[in-house]
Amino acid sequence: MKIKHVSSIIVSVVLVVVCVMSVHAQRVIDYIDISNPFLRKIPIAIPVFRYTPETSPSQNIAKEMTQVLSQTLEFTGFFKMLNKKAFLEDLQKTGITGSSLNFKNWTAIGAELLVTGGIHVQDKLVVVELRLFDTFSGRLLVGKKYKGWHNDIRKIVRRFCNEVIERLTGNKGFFDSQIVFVSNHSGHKEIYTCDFDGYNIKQVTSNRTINLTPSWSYDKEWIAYTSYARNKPDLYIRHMPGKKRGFFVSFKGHCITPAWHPKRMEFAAALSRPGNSEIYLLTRTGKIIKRLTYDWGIDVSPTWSPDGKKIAFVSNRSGNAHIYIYGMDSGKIKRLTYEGKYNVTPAWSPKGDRISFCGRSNDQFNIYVMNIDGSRKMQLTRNSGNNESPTWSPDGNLLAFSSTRSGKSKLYIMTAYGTDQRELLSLGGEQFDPNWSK
Amino acid sequence: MYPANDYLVRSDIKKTTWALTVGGSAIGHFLFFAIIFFFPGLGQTNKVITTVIDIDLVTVTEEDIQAQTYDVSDSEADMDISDSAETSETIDTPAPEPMKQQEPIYEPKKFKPLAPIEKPKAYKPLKPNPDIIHPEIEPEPEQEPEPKPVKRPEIKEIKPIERPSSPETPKIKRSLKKRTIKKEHIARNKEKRHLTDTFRQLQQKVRIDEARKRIRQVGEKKSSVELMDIYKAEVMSRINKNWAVSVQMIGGYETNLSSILVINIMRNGYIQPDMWFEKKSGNDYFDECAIKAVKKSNPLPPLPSAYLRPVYGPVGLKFTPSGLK
Repeated sequence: MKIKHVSSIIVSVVLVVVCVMSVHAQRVIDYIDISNPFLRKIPIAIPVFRYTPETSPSQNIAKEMTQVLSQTLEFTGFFKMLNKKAFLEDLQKTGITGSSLNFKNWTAIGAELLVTGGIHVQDKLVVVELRLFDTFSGRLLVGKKYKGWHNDIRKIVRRFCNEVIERLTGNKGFFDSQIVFVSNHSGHKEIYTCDFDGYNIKQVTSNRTINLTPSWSYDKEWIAYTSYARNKPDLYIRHMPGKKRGFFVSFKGHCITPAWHPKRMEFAAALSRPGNSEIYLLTRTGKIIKRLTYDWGIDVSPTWSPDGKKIAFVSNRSGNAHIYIYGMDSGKIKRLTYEGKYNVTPAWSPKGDRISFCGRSNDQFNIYVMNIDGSRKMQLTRNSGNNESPTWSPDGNLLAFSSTRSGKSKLYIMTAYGTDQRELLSLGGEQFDPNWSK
Repeated sequence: MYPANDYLVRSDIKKTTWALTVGGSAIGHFLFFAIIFFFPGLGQTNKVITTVIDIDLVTVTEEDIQAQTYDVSDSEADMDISDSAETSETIDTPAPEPMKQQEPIYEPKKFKPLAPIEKPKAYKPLKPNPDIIHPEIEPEPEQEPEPKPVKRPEIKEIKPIERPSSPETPKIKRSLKKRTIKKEHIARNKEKRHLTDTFRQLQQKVRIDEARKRIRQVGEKKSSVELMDIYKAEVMSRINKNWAVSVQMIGGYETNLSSILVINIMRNGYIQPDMWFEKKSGNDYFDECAIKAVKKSNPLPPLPSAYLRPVYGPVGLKFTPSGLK
């Protein structure tokens, strides 16, 4: 009997030891570093819209609209369009509402967002329902219904895209914005405008002379530009809808590189009235409010900070062309760039934290960005011809610029980090000096 | 001490019983060590364990096979075929023959057909009858998938040792030895036979526990460092591959966002549904992307078979977009 006790004690001791061991072995947390995302965009699936009635005209509209939506969203640089061939579901069969969708079929192909659309064609009217889903939670992020004519498709899509971007980023989309630029398409350097994505090109001037450096006012109603219409560089202020009379600004010497104030109907420009080029602040009608810079050097190309309190501009006061900042309140001037001998055409980002500019290195012009104190300078273009005149998209995520990478100077788009560089539009001749509206 | 002494002095009867227990246990211990001495195969298991484990860990392919077999079916036959085919043929080829000879003696006929390949069954006959109970009990404490990986090393342990000790003589002889010794014991004292049995049971239990402990220690502290490093690398690449983050949404390439998402990985690679942030980045989009990357990566590769716990974790997944720079 005693031995039984002993054995039971041994057994229990062993068990206790084992238990203690296993408890003691409770592991300390392990860490795994995940630091290299395979995809630097949001994977989104946009299947062909569902259409009723099931006729080929309405099918064509559905296809076209899907195409436009994909292109428009892709333009932003936020999204990776997933290949339609990989899709496991067809909206024509499943339906477009959250309850009729099997989101697992979308997460399985890697989609994190899903846009479903349904169009209903009545005579020449199109009723469109568009929805944006988070495929993992099945949540409806945006749901909108639009009604319009056949040729309003692009407008409808852009309106929806604005909603999508605002929902995802918290900032307004730029799908209503326009780009103004100079082109010698007609043989003379005239001013043109187009939509943000290069569609809808319109010629603004036709004075058969040289027109340069157009700039949008903050309300997108006016542009200011330099023109040689009277055989010397003067400024012209033009009402874009064309309903109001424009203004002609001429002083002794040149009047060039206008830049509209971000909040008021005023603009800064370089006038050579005092003998050398200086930055002035002028009213919408061209009356001088204030002279801003006093220096023996040439000062040109002003650009406003988004709050309107500072101006960055180019000056050769140090001997070479460099970028400086002028404080509107303090009147103080601070030099930003020291590298290189030629840094021009600064553009202040809409977020206010970065300034993009064109710099020359190794006899090539390239686009750079830097912080507003001159730090963290990044080169965005390289080995692709001359790249000049950067201008920010209204949300600060994209940059438009001109490039000679394909021979002639054309307009290009890239993200603010230099990725996704692509041609904006195909128009004969050369294009320069883009300026993106708000 | 004092009360004990008094106790002994006062009652002679109890003194004798005490002496009996001491003597009994002494004899028991003597027998215990005698058995170990005469049957080194039982005592030396531990040494062998390490070598066997090494084999297990070196052959990384085996993990996969085990995992698969676990998923597909529980039948031992399947598993063993894959096992012998893939990994341990060279080592174990001589083993099957002695096993066959033993089986008719101890085991019911059922096992015969399976026998030539099977190691687990070979193990059973080696032990006296009570053993049959043990393997059945073992699996219970640990979760389903585990018993197989655990059993195998133990089984292997025994064979190699026996071979050197009695190279060609079939194990029947040894079992005869056991029996003869047993009979001697019985002849001396019938009660003590019972004793030896219990002791042997005990001993085996201890041995199994020790083996398991050792596997755990060896497996986790030494080799599993490398092993789990490999596994962690697999997890890392899998999640990276499924991780999509819009650079524009997180404020560019030179962002310092960092979040730690804690998960638990089950043996078959599935991630337990409850995951939580040990640290959030402050950017909701970034954190959401991390969760989506993990969900897309589910299931992860199954845990290596040499990893004995049913769950690996909690593991902190440290998401930083530093690779973008």
